[in-house]
Amino acid sequence: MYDDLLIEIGVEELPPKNLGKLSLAFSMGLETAFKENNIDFCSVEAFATPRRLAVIVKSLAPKAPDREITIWGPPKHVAFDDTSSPTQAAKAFAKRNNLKINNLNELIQNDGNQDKLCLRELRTGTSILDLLGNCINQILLELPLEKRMRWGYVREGFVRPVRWAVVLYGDKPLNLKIFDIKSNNITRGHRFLSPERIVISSVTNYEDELFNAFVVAKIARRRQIIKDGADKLASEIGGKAVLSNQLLDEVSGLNEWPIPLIGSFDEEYLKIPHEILISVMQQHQKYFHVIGPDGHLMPYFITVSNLISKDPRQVSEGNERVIKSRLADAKFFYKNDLNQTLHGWREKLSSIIFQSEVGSLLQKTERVASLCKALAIYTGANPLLAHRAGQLSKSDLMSDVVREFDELQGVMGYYYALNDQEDPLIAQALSAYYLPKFSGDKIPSCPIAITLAIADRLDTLVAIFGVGLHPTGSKDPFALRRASLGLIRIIIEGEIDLDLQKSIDLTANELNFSGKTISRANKELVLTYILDRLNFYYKEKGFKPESYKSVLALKISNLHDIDLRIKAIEDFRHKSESIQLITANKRVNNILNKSIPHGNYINVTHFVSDKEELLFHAVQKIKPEIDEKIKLRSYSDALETLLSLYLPLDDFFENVMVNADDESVRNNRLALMTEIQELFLKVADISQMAT
Amino acid sequence: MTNMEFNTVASTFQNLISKLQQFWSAEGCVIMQPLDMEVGAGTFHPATFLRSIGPETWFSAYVQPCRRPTDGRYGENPNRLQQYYQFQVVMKPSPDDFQELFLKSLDIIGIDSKIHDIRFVEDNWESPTLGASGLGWEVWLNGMEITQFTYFQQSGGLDCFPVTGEITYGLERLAMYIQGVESVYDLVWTEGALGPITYGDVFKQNEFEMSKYNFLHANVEFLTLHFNECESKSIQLISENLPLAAYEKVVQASHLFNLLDARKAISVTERQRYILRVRSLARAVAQGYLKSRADLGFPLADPKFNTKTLRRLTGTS
Repeated sequence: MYDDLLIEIGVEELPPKNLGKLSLAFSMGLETAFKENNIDFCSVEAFATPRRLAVIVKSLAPKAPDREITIWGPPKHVAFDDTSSPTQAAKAFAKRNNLKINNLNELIQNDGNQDKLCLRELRTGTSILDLLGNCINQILLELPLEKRMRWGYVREGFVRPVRWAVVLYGDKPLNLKIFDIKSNNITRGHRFLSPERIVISSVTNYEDELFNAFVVAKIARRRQIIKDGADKLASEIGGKAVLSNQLLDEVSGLNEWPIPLIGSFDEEYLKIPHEILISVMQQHQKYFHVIGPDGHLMPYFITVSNLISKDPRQVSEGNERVIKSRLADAKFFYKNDLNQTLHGWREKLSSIIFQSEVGSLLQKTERVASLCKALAIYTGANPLLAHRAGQLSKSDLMSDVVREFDELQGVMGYYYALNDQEDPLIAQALSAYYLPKFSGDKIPSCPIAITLAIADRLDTLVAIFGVGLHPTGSKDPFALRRASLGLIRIIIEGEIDLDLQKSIDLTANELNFSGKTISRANKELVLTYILDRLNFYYKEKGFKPESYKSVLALKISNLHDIDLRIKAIEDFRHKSESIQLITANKRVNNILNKSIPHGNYINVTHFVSDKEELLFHAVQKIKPEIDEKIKLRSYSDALETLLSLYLPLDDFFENVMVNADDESVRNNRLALMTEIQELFLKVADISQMAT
Repeated sequence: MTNMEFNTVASTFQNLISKLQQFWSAEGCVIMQPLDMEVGAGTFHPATFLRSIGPETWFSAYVQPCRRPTDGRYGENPNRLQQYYQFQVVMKPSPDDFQELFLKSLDIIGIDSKIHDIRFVEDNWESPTLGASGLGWEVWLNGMEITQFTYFQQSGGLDCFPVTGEITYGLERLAMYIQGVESVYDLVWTEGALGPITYGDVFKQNEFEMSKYNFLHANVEFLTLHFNECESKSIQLISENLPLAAYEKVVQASHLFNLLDARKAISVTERQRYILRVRSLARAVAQGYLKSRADLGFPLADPKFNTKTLRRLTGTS
């Protein structure tokens, strides 16, 4: 009889941010366990609230099917001696399989070749009762938790203390030991709206019975309630709730019975930068903020309570009091900060260590500023403004607002730069150079921001590699991986014509001036590290490995140039003629790989066949064209031009033996091949474009 | 906000304290008095820090005045104080119904969970100077943090087993909520013979003077010397097998560090070093304390464990 299974693990409030992931991992864990044990089921459905992780498995078989197993033993003539008594080999077989020795002669069967000892046995399939007893604990212990905790006398631990467990199969409660408790059919409803214990009558009724106890068991459903509620409240005051996915997820993980409520704050706070207000609401209070039709922040917030309050006004007012005092604090900090200057704060950066061997943040800003000036010619930025932006790039870390709201670094730099009457372009750069902050984020667009963004990241990379602290395995405390990817995106997508090798040298020079010598080997390591990240970058973009590997094999270090080549190759690969080029290249390479060393000088007088001569002239004709196109970075055109060698090459191979007996003829032909190979390598290593 | 319904419960600051003491006393807690030393949090009281170490059981509750010199605002900010009160509860092993007990205590002091939105919001706690950390929540009352709720995982660098559950109520915030006042100084401390005595009557001048002292007059040179002295004394006392006395020096050093911080006498780099210095003292004390309890045979341990098991569990054999 197939039946439905319910497992609910009751816990103290789970961390909200990863509730969805945790729930998924739990249901996947169960699914895998059933599959691995060959237990049939129809579907798996996951539920999660702050106080429970639950899974319903529909139409689950009570056990795995029984299986007949066959175990072959030694051949009959080995198993029995002349007197038909079992030998040592037969006895060992009996022992291994728990058989009586005197029955062995009944177990002889023919395997198609000969008679052998053979055991056929019906193995009963694992029952879910046996399986669940072990696997629930196992799955819970293996869930991907950031932090595992102990409680009371429980040692193994979980993300939060486990307080109850429900296991129902076909509406019958199963008694299993989960951590230090026994499962049954008793769950709990909402902490305050339904404090009594609840008996779940059947698996089918689980969701409804929880609903009656003021628990919305599915994350997606709570998310929808919150979304709809917030939209409605915002539209009632003529605004729009800003519902970021991240905050929606988090708030859905903080409620069992979500009730969105609206509150307001004094309009005077709208005079301070809105980013501060949003930080207070979003990060600290988990409120949604509201914008008006003009896109500007309105003096309202939406909080999601976990209660149908007997007096909702008190809940709103309470929240209003909290935000009022937080905003008053923020305003106080901001006003204080406005009396200081970024330039003034800069001196204090000398007491903040960037990295102990490299020095203070003040020193970092000095290096970054000089580097900005040096890079400005490549980015088209005004070198003096870029230099100034570099100097001021870390000052806002000393402001009260950033100390209180660290996520506002950069944003506050912008406001304080304007307050200090710095050039608006500098102000913009101080905020934008932190971009991209995450995968898929925007990149900076104005030249000064681009310059600063590149300089800051390069300095970090070269300095940290310089003192031998490059990332190992998954350890990357200075986030160098992210810095590299950011650098790659800014340069490639900003189309900055900048050689990486050269900019690493410039960066290292700045470090050298300050007394840190960056070894050649470490500079090489930085370059390789960044270039290695390109594999990831292009893979993410959906490019074929053959395309980018063929270009990366050339060991060029100008990212913009690399990108143009890869795009040309990627386009070219879609053309049917590309195969001709690949074949031609392959033939040339095959010849050269097998050849012994030879000179590169081509002597026209040594040509024997006219096919040789024709090929030679074809090469001479396109050589300057190719060089010109490479110079202009018209890589697609260059590839088209290379194609014109296909026919003469084909003719050549059909009619000419490269490895001629005459050494001078042979060497001359090989030199011609080498020249062609070099031409083929001008855009990319075509041999990497395997077919 | 109307608070008529609260008038019978915890209507004054001292009434709030006595209600909490009564409640936790009835739950079997040893009601301790505050530690007579300057500390930044109730966790520094030996009844929490030391008792969380080792296999012995321990239920306790007490008020602890806390000093946070950098939070001083000369008595001018309605929400920030350089000295305030925590009500601390520790239960070891943490009971299964620890959260329920806490919620019941809120009910007793007059916070109606059918009206107010009470939530446990993930917040993991760490005291770098004590080498202590725990997992748990801040408890929100209509969006305001009123309590820190923690399951200790480490103390003095030692893994906690059994685990101590810790509840730290912010008494002023709770009282402000219950009494419905906007400024901490307007809290009614008690109804005196000649009318209400407020928190301001009791502490406002103290806040002003102590802010002046903390920010302007504390002698940096002397504080630094004193810190060094506490450090070397603590090390010496550990070697004399006097972990309790050594711990007092740790507590002192920790507060001296806070004062130096308030005087902005410590650079960011140095800051980290100071923290590490206090932490290594706290670690030494924790180990010394564990050993001294082991020598006594862990008298407060659950009798279901025999001494041998306990020694094995705690690595003190």
